[in-house]
Amino acid sequence: MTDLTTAVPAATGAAEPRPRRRARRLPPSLVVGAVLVGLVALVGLVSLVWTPYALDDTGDGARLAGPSAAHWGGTDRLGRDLLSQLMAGAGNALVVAVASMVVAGVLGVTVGVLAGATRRWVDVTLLSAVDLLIAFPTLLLAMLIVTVRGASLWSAVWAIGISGSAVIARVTRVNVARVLREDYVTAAHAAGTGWWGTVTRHVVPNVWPTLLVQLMLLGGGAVLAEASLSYLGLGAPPPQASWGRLLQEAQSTMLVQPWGAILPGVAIVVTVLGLNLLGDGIRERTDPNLRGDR
Amino acid sequence: MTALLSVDDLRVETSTGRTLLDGVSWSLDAGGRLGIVGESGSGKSLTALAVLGLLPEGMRATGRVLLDGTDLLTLPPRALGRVRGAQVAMVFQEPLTALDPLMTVGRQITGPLRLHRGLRGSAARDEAARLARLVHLTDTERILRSYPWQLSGGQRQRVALAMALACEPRVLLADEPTTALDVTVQAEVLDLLDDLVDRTGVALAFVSHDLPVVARVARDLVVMRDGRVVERTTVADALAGGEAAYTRDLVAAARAVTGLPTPTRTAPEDAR
Repeated sequence: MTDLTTAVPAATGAAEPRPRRRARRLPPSLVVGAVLVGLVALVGLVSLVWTPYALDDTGDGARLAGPSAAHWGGTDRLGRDLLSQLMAGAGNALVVAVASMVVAGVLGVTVGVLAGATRRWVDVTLLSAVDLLIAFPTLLLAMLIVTVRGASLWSAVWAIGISGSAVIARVTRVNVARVLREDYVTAAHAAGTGWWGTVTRHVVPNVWPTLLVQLMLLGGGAVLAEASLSYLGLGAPPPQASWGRLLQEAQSTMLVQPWGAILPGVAIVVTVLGLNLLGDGIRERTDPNLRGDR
Repeated sequence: MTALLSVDDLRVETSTGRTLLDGVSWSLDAGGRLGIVGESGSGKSLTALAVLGLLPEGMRATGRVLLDGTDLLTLPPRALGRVRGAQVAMVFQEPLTALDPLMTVGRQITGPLRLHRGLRGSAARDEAARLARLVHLTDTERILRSYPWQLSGGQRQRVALAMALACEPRVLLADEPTTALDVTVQAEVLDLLDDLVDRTGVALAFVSHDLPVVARVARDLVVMRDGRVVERTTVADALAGGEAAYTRDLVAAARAVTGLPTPTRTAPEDAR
């Protein structure tokens, strides 16, 4: 912290600007969140090339075994290795999280910017659509999509992304409308900047930090939603691994082999917690109102 | 002599039919210095916004705003965009909120340069540095790399002035540019503005509730109240005792509060 003492101007005259603090400490939530998400991502990546056992390998018939040297996480009722299932599930969970964020982000930001920055009737029309979407249960939407496209990872992504986009659209619209009322936007117009220039130069950068946090929270929600959908059999079908389906399969044997439920449960908690902490950390880093040096 | 910018019977109404400006007329000659005074809510800032078509949504302006004979009120958006910032520039009351908090000052100054003068890269940066020196900013290198919140109020308003003057506009609309500043800084910025108007020959329309401040930089005076023009006169005449009772009240009030000097600015020879 030596740079603080040297950077503070000697005179506190009104004309002296504040010193720039380059080396800010990273918020702990950002670090912890990044580590957790990084861990899950790493496991997911490893599972692409290597898992202790093949996902459909029922092995030597040791069913519902507890953790052992051969099967660190134990086995399920078919004798499949739980750890391998968990690892593969990590990849799927993150794919769903990221892909849903992309779908929700693209849809939501487009609709939100249009609603916030255009004429009244466009705003009203889009908002009504968004309200309808918010009222529409994610589960029902997922069932509709699964009916049309069949149960798959991508059906889950579309369902989660589309329903998540409603919230993103609302947050975007409110923030776009707020930024558009700011003096610097009027000043930009007064300087001759057009609609598009104002949106790209001023509105999007000022709305982005809030959106990024929302998207991260949505990513956490997407992991939960994917688990729920595959619990109900609306997610990725076997042999693809999914934490939600692991939970569902372990439900009936929980008393015999509790690890089958505990491990996927912990995996879900860690991933969602990681994504939420990451969102919080990013907000602390980027939100000018929360910057420590104000 | 035809006026450079003339506002002719300007009316602004809300969508609910309330009249905010009622037949406002004034004109500004090339190189002129016009002060627009009035209490809060008299419509003086609204007049400035209406000139550039920057009224909040739901307000409608009628009448004429002629810049060199072109009516800005009927100009299509694209053409109006070429007038804003290039021909008619504006400085706002609160420089902190009028600057984008997430953008360095340098990028904000180069914005209009890129837009209207097509300057890019190092040419734009050099010009930004020149403008920063024009508005008497010291240590320009560091200031151009700073964010608005890292600067003092006076520095911020100098930055806003630099942005406004970036494209050598013919008219500068200043909407209470010193109101948010403390008194000593206010005096510095007023002196700077005075000097800039002299050096660049830009015509100034200075909006303020503060008569002593207006008296420092303006020559002609428009007194507004309740969306109407009460009196059009000169600063010197107003200080000597205006025609309208309201003008005399304003002068008396200003004297009582601040000890407004009896006109020290040597009244321009035959001001009218």
